[in-house]
Amino acid sequence: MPTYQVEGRSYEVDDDGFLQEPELWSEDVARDLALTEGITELTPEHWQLIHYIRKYFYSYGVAPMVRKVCRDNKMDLDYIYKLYRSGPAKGACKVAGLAKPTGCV
Amino acid sequence: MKALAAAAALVAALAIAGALAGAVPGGAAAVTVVLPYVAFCTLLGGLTWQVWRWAQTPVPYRIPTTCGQQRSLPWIRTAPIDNPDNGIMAAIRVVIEALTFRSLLRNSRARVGAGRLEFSEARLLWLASLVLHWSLLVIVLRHLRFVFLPTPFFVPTLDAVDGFLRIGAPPLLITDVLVLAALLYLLGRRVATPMLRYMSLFTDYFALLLLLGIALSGMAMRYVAPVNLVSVKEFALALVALHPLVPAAPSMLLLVHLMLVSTLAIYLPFSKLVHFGGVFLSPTRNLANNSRRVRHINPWNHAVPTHTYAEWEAEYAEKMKLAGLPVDGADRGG
Amino acid sequence: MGPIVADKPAIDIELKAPAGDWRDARVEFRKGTFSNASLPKDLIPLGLPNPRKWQPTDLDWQLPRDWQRILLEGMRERLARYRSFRLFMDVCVRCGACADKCHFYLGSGDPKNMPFARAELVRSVYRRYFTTSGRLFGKLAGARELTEDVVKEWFYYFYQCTECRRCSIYCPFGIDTAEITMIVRELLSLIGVSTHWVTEPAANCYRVGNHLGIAPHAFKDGLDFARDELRDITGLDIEIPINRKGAEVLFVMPSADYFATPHYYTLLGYMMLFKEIGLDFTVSAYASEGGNFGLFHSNDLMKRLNAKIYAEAKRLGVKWILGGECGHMWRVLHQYMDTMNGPADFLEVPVSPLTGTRFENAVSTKMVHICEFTADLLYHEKIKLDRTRNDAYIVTYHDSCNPARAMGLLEEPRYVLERSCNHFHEMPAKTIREYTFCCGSGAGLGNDENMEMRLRGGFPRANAVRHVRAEHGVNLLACICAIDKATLPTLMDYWVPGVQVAGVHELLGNALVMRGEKERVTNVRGEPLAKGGAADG
Repeated sequence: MPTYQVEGRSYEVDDDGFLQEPELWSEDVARDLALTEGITELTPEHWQLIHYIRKYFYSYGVAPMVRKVCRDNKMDLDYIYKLYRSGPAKGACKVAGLAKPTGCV
Repeated sequence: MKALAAAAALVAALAIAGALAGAVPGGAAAVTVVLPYVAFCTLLGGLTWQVWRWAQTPVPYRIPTTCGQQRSLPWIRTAPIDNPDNGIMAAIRVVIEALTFRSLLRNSRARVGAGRLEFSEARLLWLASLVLHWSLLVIVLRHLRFVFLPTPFFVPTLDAVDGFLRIGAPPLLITDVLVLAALLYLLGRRVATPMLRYMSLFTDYFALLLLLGIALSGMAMRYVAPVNLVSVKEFALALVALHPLVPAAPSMLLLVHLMLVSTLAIYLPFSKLVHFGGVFLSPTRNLANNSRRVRHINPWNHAVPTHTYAEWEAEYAEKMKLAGLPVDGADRGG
Repeated sequence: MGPIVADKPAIDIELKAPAGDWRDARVEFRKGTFSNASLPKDLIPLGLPNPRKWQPTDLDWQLPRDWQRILLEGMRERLARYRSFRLFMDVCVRCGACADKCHFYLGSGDPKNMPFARAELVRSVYRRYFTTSGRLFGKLAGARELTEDVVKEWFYYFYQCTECRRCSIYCPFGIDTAEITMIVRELLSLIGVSTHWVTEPAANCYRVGNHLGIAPHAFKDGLDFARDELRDITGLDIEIPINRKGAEVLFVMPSADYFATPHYYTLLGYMMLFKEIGLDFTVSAYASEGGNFGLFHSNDLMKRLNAKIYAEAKRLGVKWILGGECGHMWRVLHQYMDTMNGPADFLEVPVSPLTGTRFENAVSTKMVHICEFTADLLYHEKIKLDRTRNDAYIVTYHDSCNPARAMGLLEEPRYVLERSCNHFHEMPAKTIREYTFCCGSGAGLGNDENMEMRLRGGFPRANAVRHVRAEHGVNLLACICAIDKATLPTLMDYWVPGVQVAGVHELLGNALVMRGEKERVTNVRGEPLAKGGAADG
């Protein structure tokens, strides 16, 4: 398993940089993970998505649908790709500390 | 290339052994009597064993490869042979495959160049295989003149058609030419195509070279150093009648020919030469594509653990109730 | 869609003459060309052997001590159970007709990806341990010892086959590499060698009900969301009933349809159709997965996951089952379900409630493909389409491997497409219908760690799309497979940028004229409708 190291802190991640143990997530961890998306400063809009995704995950045990993320946050997909260059599923969910979905996705 | 060399060496050794057999006491008897009987029994026994082994292995699932439109709605034109809907059509599919090598006829060639993929027709493999198999059949049938008295009625006709070119005396038989050409093409293709050469095994070369040796020794007996057909027929008839006669002075070519043919007969059931089984028994080809219409039975369909609805609901019932989804447990409770 | 492939790997496609001896089993596990190993968290709930943390790049795979005995015993068992396996081990003549038919061979140039070579990897072991000639003559008879390197090689190459069956149609003996791959994967699973992308969805499907692990309340939330979206698009209230007993039809779809994009737009299309024709149906949260990643692991796992569909149909008391757009799901439903989990004698023969058509081809399984169902509706003119609503799209159709070569569902989706859009162009004949090329990501290979091999394997398909884009300006690739919808966008972005991917029923949903609907201003993706061209029909 690869580890992701930043400023002396290290995290166990999968090949795509998703946290192996999502329960270790904290806002500081999010700031570290955001660096993998080339984000040095998380803006309120970044945080809005992170909190939205985490809240959904807490209630339902899965990430929200991409369509739902866009609609509930009133952002179109292109805009989300501007915020997180790997997009909502592989970027925002990663920073929010979720596991990566598998299957026909 | 080591495989090719080994196969060539073995075929050559067999041919030499056959040629020299007449010089060794009892050698001629071994090659003209013992070996043919052993070979015939091995061929028969081996093929029976192989076919029995395949046939008694179950076909648990109905897995035809479909090569055309299924039968679904009545107004949609179907491909009744390439996607057979019943056993009869599946049988026709198999017969067409066996007689015309239909699947090989689909062959195309892909080329990658400048980041593009291009396809072209590639029918030579199909042609060579078809010619090889049909010629071999005609040649085998022609040989029936040696083992039946009177000669079967169709053999002279076959001979006449086969010799229609009327070149030389005895007339050149077209199947002789074709079988040589086909074998040489298949051998050349195998050696010249790097990918094919990479994967080719001893047996791939051995089979081709053995057939080539048989064809050449047979043709030599007809065109180069003609043997006495009457004495060959006497010998063959005696063999068939189970009163074998060892020919007094067998031709060297005949010994080579018999040696190689016997080797082929012994080798065939245990080699890739049993590939005819694939044509007739392959579940991807001999089954109808009707698995939604007729239930196919798997004789060993064993039970497997499943996660039942009740187990599933037990885990999620609370959340389902909160979400307003119907719950069986609650139904029973109320 | 935004940029999916962030940094494009440079992929040179070249078919080089191979060097060395193919019997040398050593494989280099190069990043981008293989899938990650299964995790214990998924193997344990499924009760699968040898759960442990490992990766293919490890030197020691932590195989069970008697791994060789397990594999050989497993082979012996399967040789006795499957005529296909026995026959395919015996009859190949290595004519090579299949060689350049495999998309992985064409994309990678790796000679062991030629289908007959792939089979030879296991055939050589078969000869060594199960034939007299192989035992006696060894290498001369094409036999090879079963070593740990061979296990690694099997893992690499049998997880580099998408079970698409294209080679099989060219084989004079009908040898089906998919069948060999399925059996070898099953053998490998006996010693705990499988991939994460296959076993996690399978474990989720087994316990939660679908690949993605979407629990029933989340399932409902997703479908409620679709209801909101449908209201915005059509102005109609379109309810999606869940676990409703006594419905006439159970509708089963791949879970990606209610989670992933662009699959989700196909879901909207189905639901608009069902609303318009007033279909009495329900979906199930328990059987909330049509797909079956068990197919990519072992026949037993396939059967265990598939069992839910009939069980749920029985519990809900429906009359028959309708299945959505999904490729490998239909391999299972069409060729395995009835045999494995039937007979479905508690169901009725499917009859379309609108046209009265009796689906004679499904009288035993009692399960109908949505494209068969919709084509029948269109033939009987039970629904009205305005194809100009799809005028922004210039469409081509990708036949998904399984519906094409394990079913023969070729005309039905075309019939629907041709009536749903004005601009439809076929790709070259050698790349569609039974000759269709795989997306390169099927059979559980659609993960990101395997990206280079996916892009290589998808190259022949992309090449054909590029052809119709140049000829006709095609900008939309329609298909009826969830794996296609998940992976073709990535493939298109890499090889043919600017071509989008959509389900057939997405286009139908756009075109469908619904009673009481408001004037459509957007397509189901929420994009403004490009009005232009004359309406017909």
